[in-house]
Amino acid sequence: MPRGPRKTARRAPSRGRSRPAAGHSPARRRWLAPGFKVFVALAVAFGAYLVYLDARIRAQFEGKRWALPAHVYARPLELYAGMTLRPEELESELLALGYRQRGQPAVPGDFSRRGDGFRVYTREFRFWDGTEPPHRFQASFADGRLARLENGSDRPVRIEPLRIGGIYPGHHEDRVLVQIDDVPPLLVAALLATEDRDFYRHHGVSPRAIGRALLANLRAASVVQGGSTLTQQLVKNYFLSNERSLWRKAQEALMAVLLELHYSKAEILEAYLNEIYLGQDGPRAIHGFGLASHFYFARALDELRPSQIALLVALVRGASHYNPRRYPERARERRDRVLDTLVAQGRLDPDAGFKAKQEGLGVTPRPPGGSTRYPAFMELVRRQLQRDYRDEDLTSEGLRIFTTLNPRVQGRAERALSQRATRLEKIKGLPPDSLEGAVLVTTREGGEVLALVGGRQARFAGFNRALDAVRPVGSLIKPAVYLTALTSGEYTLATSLQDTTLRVRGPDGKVWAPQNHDHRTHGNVPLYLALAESYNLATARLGFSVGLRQVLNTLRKLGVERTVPAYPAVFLGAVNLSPFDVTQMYQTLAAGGFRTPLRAIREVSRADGEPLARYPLTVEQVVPPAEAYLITTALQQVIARGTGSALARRLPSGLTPAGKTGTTDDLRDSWFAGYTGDYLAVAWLGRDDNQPAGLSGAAGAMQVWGDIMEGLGPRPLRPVPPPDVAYAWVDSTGRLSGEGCEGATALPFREGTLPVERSECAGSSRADPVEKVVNWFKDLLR
Amino acid sequence: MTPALRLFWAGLALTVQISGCATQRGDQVPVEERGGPLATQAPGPSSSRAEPTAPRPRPQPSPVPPPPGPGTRPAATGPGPLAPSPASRSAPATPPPGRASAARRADPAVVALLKSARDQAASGDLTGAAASLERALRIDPQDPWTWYRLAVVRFQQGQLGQAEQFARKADTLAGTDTDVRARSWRLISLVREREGDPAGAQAARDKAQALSL
Repeated sequence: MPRGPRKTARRAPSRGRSRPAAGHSPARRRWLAPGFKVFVALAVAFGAYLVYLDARIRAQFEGKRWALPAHVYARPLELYAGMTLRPEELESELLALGYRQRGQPAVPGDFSRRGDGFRVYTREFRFWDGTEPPHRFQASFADGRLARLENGSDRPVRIEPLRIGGIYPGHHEDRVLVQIDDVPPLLVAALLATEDRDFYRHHGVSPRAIGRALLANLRAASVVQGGSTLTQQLVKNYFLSNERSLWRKAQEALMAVLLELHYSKAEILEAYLNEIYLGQDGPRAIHGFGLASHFYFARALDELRPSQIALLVALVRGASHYNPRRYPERARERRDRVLDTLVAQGRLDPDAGFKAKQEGLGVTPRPPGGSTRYPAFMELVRRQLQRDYRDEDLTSEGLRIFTTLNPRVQGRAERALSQRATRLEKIKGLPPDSLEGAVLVTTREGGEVLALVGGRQARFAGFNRALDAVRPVGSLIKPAVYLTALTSGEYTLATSLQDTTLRVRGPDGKVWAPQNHDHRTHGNVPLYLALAESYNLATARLGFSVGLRQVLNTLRKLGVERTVPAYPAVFLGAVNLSPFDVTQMYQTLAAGGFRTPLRAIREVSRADGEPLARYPLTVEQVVPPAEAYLITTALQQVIARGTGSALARRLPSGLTPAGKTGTTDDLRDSWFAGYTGDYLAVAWLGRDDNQPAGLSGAAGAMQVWGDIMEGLGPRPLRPVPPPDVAYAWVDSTGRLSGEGCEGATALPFREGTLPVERSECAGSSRADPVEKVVNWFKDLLR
Repeated sequence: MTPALRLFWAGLALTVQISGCATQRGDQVPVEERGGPLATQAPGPSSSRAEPTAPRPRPQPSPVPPPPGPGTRPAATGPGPLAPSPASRSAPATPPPGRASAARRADPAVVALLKSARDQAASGDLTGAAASLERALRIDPQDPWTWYRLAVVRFQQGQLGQAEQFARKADTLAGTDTDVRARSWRLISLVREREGDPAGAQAARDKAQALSL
């Protein structure tokens, strides 16, 4: 194309020289020359302009053709008989996936429900490890469990995962790319019939169409019809301007002609199908029929009925004017016009056309989660991906990212945080919306992040407190002190600690004099009880005995990567960590002393489904099994009898979770970290302005934790005692005792650390104190 | 012996067989496995990208200890030298956690996934086998046998460090199941041999030996 302008340019200088020529009077030449010069200059400018336009339109076309944001998916729901799941939860998962409820499932994407019985016809989905073909299954529920599952195999039924968002370049455009061969023919027919009847005949602009439009507009004395070809509309979309000037139109027409010179009709049509603007979802523009199909109907383009196809085509004329969620009447009228046109042109038989017009719009009441419902979790995914991928790849390669998010757990966590925070504000007389919080929920053994809530307004991206609120953790740090003591070999759970006044002068001359929360001292207390009751004085004394460096070392082993200052106040939690950091630390305790890096991503595959990378489960043993077992037992005591006992009263009695409360100076931060048989959850409550929230760990964050677990129906925590651990009855001073003796408690001991001193009661007890514990232990397991 | 248990023995035998003759198919797509803790801060200059694991040299055919025949299963009732816990000696009326986890193996979904893992490993798709085992762990994360199988797969992939760690995990979850404990320690001895740590290998072998008595 740029040949023309260059020719003009070459001729221009020769004409520019004032060379006398015969037959022309100087006067006339003088008059002609400037005119000609102007003409030539204009021609040059126009040529250059064409070159510019050409480059611009081609860059757009090529660039947009392949720009695909990464698609991010939640975990797929895997169904198996006996799993904890309520019928409502299966139903809401299916509805979120856009499954249609009907009397009898007929096609993939259908399901029926009668009471607690389901019949489901799943859709095909290409997972990272292969394609899950469409298949039918039946399920029934009883007592909060999936009681029966019939799918012709024992393998779990893996349902397609929910798409939870995309990773877009800065301007928030989303795409679900379609290929011209996969587009329903009726859609192309409808598009050409209503928008550009001469598409296959024109060269980018259609004088006939313009003439027709002009005539119609003159008749109506206003603009009622546009003469733009699809190519012109495509160009217009590329530069998204509402300007309707003649100059703009001319520019678009030129670009349309240029585009047609470079690309085939099929290529242009495909680009159009993927580019045209069809709606708006907050800041996210809905471009292309593939995405619009999901946006309006929550289904794939090739699953649409004729009436739905006609509605999408209707939107081409004005996605906001005909917005079917906002102006259903207008949209319907316009859709029926499209259907009429199709029938009139013989593209749809009259019966089908009539039927289609009887149908409702079929639009979902709300747009499905596309621009993400889970901005805080997405932020975590993005941060991990950025370690391994370039920004351009994430926003243009259409990668498919399979994450660990469990929408059911996430929903519980979000509700628990926002509802509990509202209640606590009222109780404590705090200004509304001043209390903030964060929650993380992971799998206890696998470290998969099931839920991440970055604040009370979970739908809005903003300050992500789960990742970025780095706050003092208070007593949450204490298990590290006690674990250090237990692994040193010098201490057992029964060792007597001194909870007495402590004054320490630091190297800077300042005196550190910690206090207990109740401002009292408790004398001699067994080690496990000092942790359960979170006594500061006993803990600080223990910290000094085992050594600051050893405690810091334990913290690092547990997975705390942030720098921790080396001063004694660390023993009582003068350490700033984010909820995410705390979760990583407790993950190691919850997983029996195996550090398990938190993961938000399972797999990444290419747009075509080809697997690209896996983020596998990895573990590293950093605490010996016996000590890991002892610390978990002690943390179970926190809830059984210590600062978390309010939790034991509200949860099922056999659950025996392990956990720790955390409270900071002046009640600014309220923390709770705890785990059950299957989940680890960490909750934080506090104020963004760091003013006191008036909440202890037990009064605030622990309530949120309890709300979450109540909703999830977790499995009981029953850690396996390692072979080198034995139980024994001990009294409050740490001597061997016997069952039924005053103040006797059964505690686990690592081999070789059993107390040797016996209480008087132990002597009188008939059986060996070690043997006697068996019955007690059996009770614990029940 | 319950059918589930029989199936599991058959599976184990196959797993071990595979470990001796596993080959990485040439036509397989190299899939990267990325590790490391999940960073929540923006990556710094030192942030290292995960290495692809697929092109790693295949480990030599390994002599993973053959399973005993169904009749020769070592008795798991008597406490080993390392198991003086009263819990492990408690009456069978209330099974201790170790036993409980063995009983949970009957979960058909887990069995089906273990079978998939075995088939994938048999066809050389070790990455897929690991993924199936992880799916099984999501259903029953406390099953020491699943962890042990994951250890075997990692060993076959030449990921010795993870092989040992998963074997240790199996060991700690095993409770009184001395069989899986003995196997785990035998696998650890192989790992250490390959890592050039004969003393460590011997210690692990001794431990396995003591557990098999």
